[in-house]
Amino acid sequence: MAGLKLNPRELREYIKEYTGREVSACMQCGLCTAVCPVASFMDLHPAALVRAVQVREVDLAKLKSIWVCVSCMTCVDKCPRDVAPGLVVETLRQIALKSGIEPRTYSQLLIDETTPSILLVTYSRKSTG
Amino acid sequence: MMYPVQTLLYYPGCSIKRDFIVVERTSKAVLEALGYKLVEINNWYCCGGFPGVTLSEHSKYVSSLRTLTMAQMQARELGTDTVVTLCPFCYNTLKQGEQLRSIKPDLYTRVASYLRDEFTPYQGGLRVVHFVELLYSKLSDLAKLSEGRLKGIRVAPYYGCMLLRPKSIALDNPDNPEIIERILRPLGAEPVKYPYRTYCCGSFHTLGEPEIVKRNTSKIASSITSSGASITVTPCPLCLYNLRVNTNLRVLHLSEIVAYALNLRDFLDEESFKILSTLRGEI
Ligand code: SF4
Ligand code: SF4
Repeated sequence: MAGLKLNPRELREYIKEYTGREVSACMQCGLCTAVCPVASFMDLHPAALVRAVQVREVDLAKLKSIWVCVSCMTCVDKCPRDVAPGLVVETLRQIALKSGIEPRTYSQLLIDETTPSILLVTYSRKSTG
Repeated sequence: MMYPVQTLLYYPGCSIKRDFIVVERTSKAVLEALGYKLVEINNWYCCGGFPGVTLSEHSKYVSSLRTLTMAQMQARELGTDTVVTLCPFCYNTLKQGEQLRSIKPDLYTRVASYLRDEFTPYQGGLRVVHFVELLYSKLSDLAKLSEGRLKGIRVAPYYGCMLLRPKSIALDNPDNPEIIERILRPLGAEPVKYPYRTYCCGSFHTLGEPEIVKRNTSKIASSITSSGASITVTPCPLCLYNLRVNTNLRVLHLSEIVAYALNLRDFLDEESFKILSTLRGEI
């Protein structure tokens, strides 16, 4: 997959339109990363991701965090500046999906007859929209 | 019948019907014992998982508004205004769908326009509740009917995410929930508090990145083990599955332990019945 780099200014505007939140309001307190239950599995943890969106180009084809986030909304409720990193992640993931980037193919999924449908629904929806 | 019967519309969702039918069986039995009658929504649709995983802002709400549209027609016929869900994912999605009209009217209008060809779209006025809230509204009945049957059993409630976040749909304080503890006490049980009771289990990563779920469930499990609980209960089928597959904890769905407490033995699986009876014998 070729890179999918987005200009920071356009990206910030897109995020604002989509989530109603201002990434420029982030003060880098790190609370979102502290409460995120999967931050240690991310390449850019929530606070770092918000910082990246504030200041530089982000290559969505390479970014793993957007697939690691489970949309648990812990950071969204906790952020003192109402930046809602989880919704920023969601927006980036949607742009990636719409551009044809897929996290992994179905044949790689660990499915058997005991897999509950809730897992199939949430995982496949997250990976395909 | 002890109480006047209150009719509720029931939204089952995919996992309850396909993988956790015991949850439906025990929840229905419990709610009937508490004076509710559940009528399944005709033509219900998959809730879509949950709003965080969709491709666009409006696609988050299509399935829930469609279900609420169907529910509203039936609610009028039945004379009820309440939709009860058993799965926290369904609760989360339907509740956010229900709030759309008042929170984001423009978006509601757009999503409703997709439905307009077929039906009059959902007009507001339904109450989306979770099983846990109905139990919480009947604490004295729970005490009466159970006669404190779970006396002395130390229970660890595990909440998961979907009943508590985002805070707009939270059915209790998301930072320090107590609602399940308050349901367990009248049954005689001793709920224990432990730090990781609202920590995400790793959710759907079971299918692609199982190490995330292993790590998170093991944190939860050691937190529960050091709390001294002899059994864990959760209201969420996905958390239940993840905890069972990845840890050595004894985990039941909340509806199973409540059904046991109310002496509704016929509705329980043999396995869960044995676990609970053994625990009761040990006390
Ligand atoms: S919690 Fe909010 S303000 Fe703090 S680092 Fe995260 S996004 Fe920035
Ligand atoms: S919503 Fe995503 S980024 Fe935020 S705390 Fe949850 S998993 Fe972490």
